[in-house]
Amino acid sequence: MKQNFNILITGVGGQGLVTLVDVLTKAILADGKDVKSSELHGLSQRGGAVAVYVTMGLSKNKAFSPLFKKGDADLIIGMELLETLREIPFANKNTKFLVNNKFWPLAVVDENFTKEKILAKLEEIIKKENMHLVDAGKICYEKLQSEVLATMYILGYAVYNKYLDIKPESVIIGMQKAIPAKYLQMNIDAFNLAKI
Amino acid sequence: MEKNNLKKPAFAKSFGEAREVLLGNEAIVQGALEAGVDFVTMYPGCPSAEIGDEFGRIAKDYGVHYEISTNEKVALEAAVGASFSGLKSLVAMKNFGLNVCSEVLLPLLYTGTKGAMVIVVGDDPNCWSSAQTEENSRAFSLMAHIPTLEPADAQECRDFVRLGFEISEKYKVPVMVRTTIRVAHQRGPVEFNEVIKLSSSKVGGANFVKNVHQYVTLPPRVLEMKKELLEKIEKIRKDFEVSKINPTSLKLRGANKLGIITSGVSYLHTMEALRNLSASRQGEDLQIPVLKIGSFYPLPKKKIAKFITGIKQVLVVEELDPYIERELKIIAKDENLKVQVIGKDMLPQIGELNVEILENAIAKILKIKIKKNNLLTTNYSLQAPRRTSRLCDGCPYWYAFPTIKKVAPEGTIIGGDIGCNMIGGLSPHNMYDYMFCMGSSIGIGHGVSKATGKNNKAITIMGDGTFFHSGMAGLINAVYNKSNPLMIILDNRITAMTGHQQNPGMGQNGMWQSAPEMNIEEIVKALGVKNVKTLDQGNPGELENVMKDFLIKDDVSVIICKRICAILDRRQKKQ
Repeated sequence: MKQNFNILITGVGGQGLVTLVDVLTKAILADGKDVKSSELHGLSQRGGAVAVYVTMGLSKNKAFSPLFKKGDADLIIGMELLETLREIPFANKNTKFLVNNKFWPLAVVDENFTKEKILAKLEEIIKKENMHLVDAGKICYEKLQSEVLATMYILGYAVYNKYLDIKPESVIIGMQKAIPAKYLQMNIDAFNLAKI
Repeated sequence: MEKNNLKKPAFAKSFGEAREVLLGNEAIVQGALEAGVDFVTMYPGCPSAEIGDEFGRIAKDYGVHYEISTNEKVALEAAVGASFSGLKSLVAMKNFGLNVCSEVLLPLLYTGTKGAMVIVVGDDPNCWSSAQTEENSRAFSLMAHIPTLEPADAQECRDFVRLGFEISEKYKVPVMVRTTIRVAHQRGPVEFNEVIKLSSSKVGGANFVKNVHQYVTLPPRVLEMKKELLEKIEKIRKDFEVSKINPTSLKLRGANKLGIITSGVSYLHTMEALRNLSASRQGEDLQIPVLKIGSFYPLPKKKIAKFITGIKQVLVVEELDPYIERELKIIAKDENLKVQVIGKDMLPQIGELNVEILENAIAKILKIKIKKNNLLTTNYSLQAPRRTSRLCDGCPYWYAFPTIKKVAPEGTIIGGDIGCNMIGGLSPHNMYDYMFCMGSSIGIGHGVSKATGKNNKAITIMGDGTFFHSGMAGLINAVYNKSNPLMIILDNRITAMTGHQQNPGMGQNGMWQSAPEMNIEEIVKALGVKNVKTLDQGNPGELENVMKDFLIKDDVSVIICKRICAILDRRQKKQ
C-alpha cells in the first residue's frame, strides 16, 4: 500500500517557493497528516534553480525522509518551464504535472531551450491527461496585480481539482500561520481564484 | 501576547498551541528560548542564517541580547565573555565559521563554561549553498573534545538544543549541535512547550565572578585543564550510553545478519529505504536493527559494542567522511568482535546520501532484488542546461564587473571572495583566477603581487560584509609588506547573499537598532593606503578612469564601489 504522497515543487529563486512550502507543510499538518520537506536557501537561491521536496504521510503513516527518490513524485508543481523539464527524472508514468506557463531566461541564452522548444519537449514526454499548463502568473498579474501570487493560485488549482488531497480549509489555516497579516488576504484571493 | 511572565512560543500564532510545522532552524530558536537563552551571537552563513534572522526579529520580546558579530571568532568570544559572566548563550554559524572560531573553541573546552552554551554549526554536504569545501565539522568534535549532538529532523533540532543546554549546565562545557542543510532546511511537525517562562532580562545585570584558576589558560595549569576535560568527556559518555538520543529500532535477538548504524538526516533516509524495501517484498519485515547515533561525540562505545555483538555485518550510514565507521572498527577490534564493517567502501564520501543510494546498498548487501524505479522516461535526451546563480536585475555588480574585466590589462590576476561577488566566477562573467574563503582575495592577491612583480597585476574583489569579517588583516599585510594589488570593495550596503543581514557599515545592528556606522574609506586610509577612492560605479566612466589611474601605482590602491543592493533598494522604496 502506498505510504506517502510526494510533491516536488520546482522553479527559480525569487518566485516565492519558500513561502509556498511553508504554507503547504502547515496545511498538511492542519489536515491531520505527517509531513517532511526539504528546501534550499542561499547561493542556490540567487536566481538559480530551486527544487523543494514535500512528503505527505498517507493514512496516518509517518513521513521519514525529507527527500524522495527519482520516479517517486506523485505531483510536480512547476513554477517555471525549464525547471519542470529538469525534474522529469523524478516523475513516473502517473505523475501529475501542474505547470505555470512561465519561462525564466538563462543567464546565457541557449537556442535549444527557447520557451517553445521546452514546451514542445514537455508535451512530448508527458501524457496529455497528466499535463496541466496553467497561466498562473499571468492570471495573478491581471486579476491581483502580482505575479508572485502564482504559487498560491497553483496550490488552489491542485487542491480544488483534487490533485492534492487536502481540504481547502486546511490550506487557509496554513496561510494564516505562514503569511503576515498584511499579505494574507491577497494570498487567499489568489488561492480561491483557482476554484472552479 | 504577554501574560504575567509567560510568553507564547515564537512560532505559534497564539497561546495554547504546542505543535506546528517548523523549519529546523526555527526549531533551534524555539529550543533555545525554552532553555532560557540570554545571549545569542552569530555570523550569517547558509545553512544557519535563519537562526539569526529569527532572533533579530524576536530577541527584544524575550529579553535576549542578539548580535551579528564581526565574524565567527568574535561571536564565540562574545559568548565566552557572557558565559563567564553567568549568562546562557547560543552561537550559530556555518561550517566554515567553525574554522574561523577554532582558535577560541579549543581553549574554551579547557576552561569550560559557567553559563551554559550551545554552538550550532550547519554543514552543507554537496555544497548546495556554499563554495570552498565540502567540510565535515565533526572533525572539530574530535579535535576540540566538544560534546556533539546530531539532530535528524526539526523536532530533534528543538529537543537537542534543549538537551545541549542541560549537558552544558551539568558539565560546564560548551555543546555543539551539528546540523546539515537537509536538517536545518527541513520542515516537519514539532511539539514544543505551550508557553515560554520569562524572567526579567539578565543582560546588563550579570556579574563576572573572578575565577583565575578556571579562566586563565597558562601552563602548567592548562595541562590540568586538559585532564579535567578528558574526565568530563568520559562522564558525558556514560550518560550517552543510556541516553534515549541513541535509540535502537528493534529488539536485538543476536541472530540478525545485518545491522545499521547511522546519524543525522541519514537516519531518515535509512528508515525510508527499509520501508520501501519491505514494501517491494510484499511487506516482508527485513528484521534489520538500526542504531541511531544522536551523540556523535563522545560516542556511546558500549552501546555500539553491544549492538554489533552477534551480528555478521554492520552498515555505517553517515554523510561525508567516515568518522563513525573508523570508531566502529576500533571498537570491534578492542572487543574482539568478528563483524564485517561496511561503510565508505559502498557508500559515497562525496555529496549527500539519499533513499535511492541506501536502497541499492542494502539490497546489494542482502543480495535481494529490488523493483526498478517506475520512471516516466529513461530516454531523457534533452538535458536541461545548468541554471547557475546570477546577479539580480539591477544588481550594482552589473555596473562593476564588465568595467573591471575591460580595464584589467592582459596578465592581470583577478581574485574573488565570498558573498554575492562569487557570481563573478560564473558565466557570463568568468572573471576570477582564484577564489577561496572569507577575506582571502586580498591576502592571496598580496602574495601574487609580491611573487610576480610587474609580470602580473593583482585585482582583488570583496564585498563590504567580508571586508569587516576578515578583509582588513589582508589589507594591512599588503600595505605593511609593500605589494601593490588593486583592491575593489563592492559596498552594496548590506550582507546580501545570506539573506540580507546587517553589517558594521550600515549603521544598524542585528536587531535593526541604530548603531555606529563604520566608514570603509576612513578605515582603509587609517590602514595606510594612499590611493583610495569611493565612487558610484553607476556613474558612466568613473570606475574606468579611477581604475586606470590606480593600476599604474606602485603601492596598494583601494576603490570602494558604493551602490546599494538592488533588492534592498526596492524594499526601502516600497516602505
